Amino acid sequence: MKRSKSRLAKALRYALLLVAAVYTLVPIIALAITAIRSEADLNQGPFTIPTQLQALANFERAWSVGRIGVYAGNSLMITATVVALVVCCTTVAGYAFAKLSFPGRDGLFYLLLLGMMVPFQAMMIPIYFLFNSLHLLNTRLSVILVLAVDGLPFGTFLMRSFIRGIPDELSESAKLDGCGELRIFRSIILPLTSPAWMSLIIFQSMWAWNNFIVPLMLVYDEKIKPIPLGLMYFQGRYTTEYTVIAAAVIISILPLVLVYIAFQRHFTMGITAGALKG
Amino acid sequence: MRAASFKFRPRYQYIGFLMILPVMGLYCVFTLYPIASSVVLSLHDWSGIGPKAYVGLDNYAEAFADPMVWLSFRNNLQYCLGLIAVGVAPGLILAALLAGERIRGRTVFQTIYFLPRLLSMVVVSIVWGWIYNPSFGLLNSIIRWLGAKDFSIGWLGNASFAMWAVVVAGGWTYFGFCMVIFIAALQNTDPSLSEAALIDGANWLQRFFSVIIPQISNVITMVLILTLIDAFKIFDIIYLMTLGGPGRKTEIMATYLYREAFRHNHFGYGSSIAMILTAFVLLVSIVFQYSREKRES
Repeated sequence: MKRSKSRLAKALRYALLLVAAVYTLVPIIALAITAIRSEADLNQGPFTIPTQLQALANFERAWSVGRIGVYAGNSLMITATVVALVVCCTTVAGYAFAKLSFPGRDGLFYLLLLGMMVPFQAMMIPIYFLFNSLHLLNTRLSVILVLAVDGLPFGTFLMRSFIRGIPDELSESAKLDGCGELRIFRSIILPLTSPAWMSLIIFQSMWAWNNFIVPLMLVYDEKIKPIPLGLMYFQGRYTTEYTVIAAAVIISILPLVLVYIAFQRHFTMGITAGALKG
Repeated sequence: MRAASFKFRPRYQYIGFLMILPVMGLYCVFTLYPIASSVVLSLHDWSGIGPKAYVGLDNYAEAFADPMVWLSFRNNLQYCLGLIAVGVAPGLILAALLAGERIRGRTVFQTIYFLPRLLSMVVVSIVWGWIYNPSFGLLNSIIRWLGAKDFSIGWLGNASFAMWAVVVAGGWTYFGFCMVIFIAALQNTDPSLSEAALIDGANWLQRFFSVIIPQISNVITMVLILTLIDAFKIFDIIYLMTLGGPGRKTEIMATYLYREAFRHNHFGYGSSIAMILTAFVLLVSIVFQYSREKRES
């Protein structure tokens, strides 16, 4: 009796887990199916069983007419630069905040933490006019700067907590051997920080790749739009070309999904840590 | 000699200033300065060009008397409550299901649930826009298939359903994320308590409410606060799915101030709404931070 009851409970648990998995996956699967079928076949609606497939034509059209290739190139460039900027600046600053002592260190660090709590809306309007007066509106540089600076407080926070965990004995002994602070940083601390980079890189890449409001505000030229903005305009212009839009969406999410599957653990860790910053 | 120099090394390592210079410099120019300008701008009337007219606290007085500000504030709150129902609660249940006894395919389930979190809000809005489409949408098809033959609702254009429709799309990207946090919290709890309850004959529901929830109540509070803050920061999903419509039914503070500033060129007024939003978010964060430190000490 008891055994059958526990078996029932177990079946119920798996059923719940499966329902949630189906709920999560159905929109994504429907999207993938839409991306590989023909326009004519879709007239029955995007969520019917496909009969005619033409994946290549859809992706080709998304790439050429939809300019997804251009948008993706812009996003790639923006993302790579943002990540490089954030990782370099915050590793150095994180070390200084963690291991060096200088006047006003903690005060400055708390000032930096303020940036993690303040919503983007608090700085959005002046940022627009700042770039306007610098004649940098509608440039990739403006998007890169805003996205990178937005990542600095959290990045510094993450690197500081990580570097604090590195035992002092290592740098102490190097100091006794006559190493300066920069030398200690370069040859002792730097090689040890790479595990923290993984989370930071993943979190920042996703943030930069997906961000919408910053380019929405700063960029209007088709040639420099990143992929979320490009997708939105493409969808607005060709509303009914569902198959091509779906193909474009697949192209836009593929890089992240591949990285996610390859580095699943780092990914969830990085993003969870990033969200807990508030 | 070396020992002597070690003894008298300066207390401060001034090179630290040089090392934080890139971060602090950029932060000052592109974060602190814009925040300060927002505060100043919120005390002026300004159309974006020409001179700014100082109006004192008039913008704030206007904002607090503006029914649209209150409506959008309420809509942010509604979004928050919805997100708790379709994001935090399912995340907690799934975490409890996965963290308990041995579950086959646990990693696969986790990977799947977290997947929507990777998608940009543009992608989410396109996919869910299709699901909610009145003529070919999946949701209406399912309802028709269940028996309501001529059923058709344009979910995002319907005044009573639009906000809930957006909330469900937002929750779809949120519950897996909540689950990951709860699983991490549950892994730090004492499994013997749950086992003891099991031996005492407690069923799954009893264990969920009297063992699992109390053990991670701190983390649950934290996620609820995070959800509240996030629900006030949102912009993308509303801008992309409904643009605040139909008839302002889904207008939230961020879309309202964006429209006031960048569409109607009321940059001073927009800034004052931004400041009210910021003050609310900061207040929630600081109160939470303070109460947590107090509890921990």
